[in-house]
Amino acid sequence: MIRNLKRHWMLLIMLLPALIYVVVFSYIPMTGIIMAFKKYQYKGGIYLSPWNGLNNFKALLISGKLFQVTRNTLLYNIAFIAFGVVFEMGSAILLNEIIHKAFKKTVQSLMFLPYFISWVVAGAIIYNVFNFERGVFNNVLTALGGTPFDLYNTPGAWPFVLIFLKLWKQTGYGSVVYLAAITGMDQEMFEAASIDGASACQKIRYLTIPSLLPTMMILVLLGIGNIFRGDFGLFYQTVKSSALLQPMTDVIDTYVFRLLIDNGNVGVSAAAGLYQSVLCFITIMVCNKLVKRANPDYALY
Amino acid sequence: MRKKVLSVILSMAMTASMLAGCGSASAGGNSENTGATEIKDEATATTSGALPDDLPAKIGDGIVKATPEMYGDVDLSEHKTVNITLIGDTPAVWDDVLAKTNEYLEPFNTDVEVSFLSWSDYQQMYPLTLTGGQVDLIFTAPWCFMYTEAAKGSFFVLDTDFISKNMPLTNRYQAAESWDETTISGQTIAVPSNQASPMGKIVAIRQDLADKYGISSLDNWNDYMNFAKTIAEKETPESGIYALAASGDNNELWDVYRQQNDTFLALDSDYFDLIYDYKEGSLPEASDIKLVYDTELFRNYAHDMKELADAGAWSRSALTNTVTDDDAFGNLQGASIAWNTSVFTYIEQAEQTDGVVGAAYDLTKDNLVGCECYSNNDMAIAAGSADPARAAMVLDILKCDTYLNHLWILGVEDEHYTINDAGEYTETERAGDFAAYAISASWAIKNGDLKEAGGDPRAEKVTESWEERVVNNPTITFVFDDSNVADYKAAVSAVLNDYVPMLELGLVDDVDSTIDKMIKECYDSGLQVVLDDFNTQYDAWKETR
Repeated sequence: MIRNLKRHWMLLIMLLPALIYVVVFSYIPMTGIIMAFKKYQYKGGIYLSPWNGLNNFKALLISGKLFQVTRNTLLYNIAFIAFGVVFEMGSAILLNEIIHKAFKKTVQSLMFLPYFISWVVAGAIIYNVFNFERGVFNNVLTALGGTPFDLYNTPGAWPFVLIFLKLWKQTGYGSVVYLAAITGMDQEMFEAASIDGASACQKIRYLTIPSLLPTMMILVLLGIGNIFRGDFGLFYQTVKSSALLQPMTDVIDTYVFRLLIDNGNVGVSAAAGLYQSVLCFITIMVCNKLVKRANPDYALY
Repeated sequence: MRKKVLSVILSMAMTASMLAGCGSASAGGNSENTGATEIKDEATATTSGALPDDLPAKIGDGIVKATPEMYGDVDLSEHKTVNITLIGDTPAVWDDVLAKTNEYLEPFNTDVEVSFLSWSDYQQMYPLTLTGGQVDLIFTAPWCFMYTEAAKGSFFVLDTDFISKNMPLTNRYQAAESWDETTISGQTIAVPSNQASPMGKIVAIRQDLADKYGISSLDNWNDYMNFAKTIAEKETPESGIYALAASGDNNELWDVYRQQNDTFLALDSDYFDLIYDYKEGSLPEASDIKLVYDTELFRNYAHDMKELADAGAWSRSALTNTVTDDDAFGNLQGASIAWNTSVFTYIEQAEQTDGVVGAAYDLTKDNLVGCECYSNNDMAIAAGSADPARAAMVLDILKCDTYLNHLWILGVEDEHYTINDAGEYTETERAGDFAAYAISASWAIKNGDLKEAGGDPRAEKVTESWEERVVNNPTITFVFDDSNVADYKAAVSAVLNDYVPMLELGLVDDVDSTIDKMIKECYDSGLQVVLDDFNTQYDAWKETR
């Protein structure tokens, strides 16, 4: 061991910055978990505030919100992952089939563009489009003789809006990974298929999609690891603070944020954060185990 | 979002000039007051020796000049900076006022640095500022996190000895009964303002629009309903002006509405309000104090609000609208607003456009007028302050030293205001750079000695009848210590945060079933536990009265 250290000291020194980075920014902050068990006071700060037992978790349970936000987070993320895979993979395959280079580039750039628009801006656009009295959407609708639609007072419409927005933003970015995987495939395989008389559809069905499965599995696994983590920007900036919509749009992240900012409840907020992290940890462990059992090559670790 | 933040901008200036203080709490506090608690009497006794004999009997009777000698117990050997955090926007010529302040504080070996948390994000920034440290003195109020931060131990606890040693002038001049309002379970956590004054809730309307539809004046709530519906029906489709450009909730109008029933709040904590009917000469029984939303009064109000919402009195997006109704009124997007005399500020703003005429009406002329309590605006020393004694000294000087007090409330003399022989001030043309009562600290350090010469005659008309109807909230000095039931209270508040705004904006399909559902959820979240604790503390307090 010591001989190894001596021999590879140069490599170890090169590793050091990364190691320090992870320790400082990932491991030391983790000690903040104790806040979930403390009655936070400014004077004592994170480490010296008095202990509060499990009272912070009790407060979370009393609020009766935990089920609602967990359900919302879970369902939204399942939808994001499922639709995400279909759309990202689908668009990557379709893009790959386009032969006209300039057209392909244009389409890809247009799809990629929303990724660079922040949720704040997207939220403002949605608000101006769907504003009940002055929005573009209702203006067009009434001009065509329809009755105006009140999106900001219709909680039931939000799952569709949010899923649409998420896909609009992430499809372009997500498809790049699949596109890279397709480009990296052995072209001889496709040529052989062509010589054997396979149609374009058959090549996709029997060659492209099966070859993309490992990539898909990794991306889905990563997605599942974060299945209890809501996209804060999306949920906070587009829904704003409308209590009317919260039953359908409140996710764990926005709930933690409101606990902290509106109620100033640091301990309970930390408890909710810990609850979320534990859920994430469990899901990724279970998922990885299941995948490993089915096919060890696809597992993350 | 509650609009108490606006409760004092200019309104103080207007009402203070017209009315004397409330009840026994005379303007220009006076420690010889009969309500003095035992503790405070002791405090007065221990310090009177430290102050020179030639000080005026009360603030406003003469010039008070603070000197370093008055602060013999404060260690002034080292030069120190006291960091002050205020809420509200920074006045245009703040640097000038700050420079003059620091010049004045030189003999005390002290200077101050002031940061402002703007109206748009103070609710997020305020707790973070306290968390981050670096603050010695901070503005606070029941509507600005006072109780929630006190429960977290964010404020330095002021005991009798500390006040007498480090704040001799405040100890002398602060109205003794005012301390009870910031004392929670025996711990005084902030220094309240030194003025309590009548503060009725009124509505302001666009009179030019009312005239257009044949409405000459408003006398009662039904008149207002009629006005709002008329505007919604006839004016809104034409010009896009809403009857009331509501934003977030309709709490201000609710305060106008509940004045019809002579009610007071026994607990005022964001939406978590406990209400009772006022009976002259007696304190309410614990059983008479109810959650506001569990009363017929609120139910009727919610029905009226739904009627207005359905008529189109405000936008369907009112819940998420972030332009305040006041600003919308000033910008001619709304035809009415409700609150105290601060509405005249917005009337004046709207009237800058030719042809626009504003008017304000008291819809409850036969009812009681509540008093704004001392504690509605306060200054506290942060628990994390490196030198609480020095911070206390600065606060003491700001509150009682005539020069600094006037500088922070009115700006620079002869530049932003002039003062006549009778001691009444008049704002100059340059008052826009530093308007009277523009910074939040001015509401917390006011002593009630400053009166405005003249003033808006319409404001006078509305407020002149208040004096004979004014009543002090009998339970104002009872402060509920919610630390034992904080979890339940937070859970109930979360339920209220979800339901109250939409009920107040009438954006529900069925008012009754929504209220029933909300009340049930409140009880599920532990409302009864909070009420039981409240009642126990209240009964104990009542025993001592």
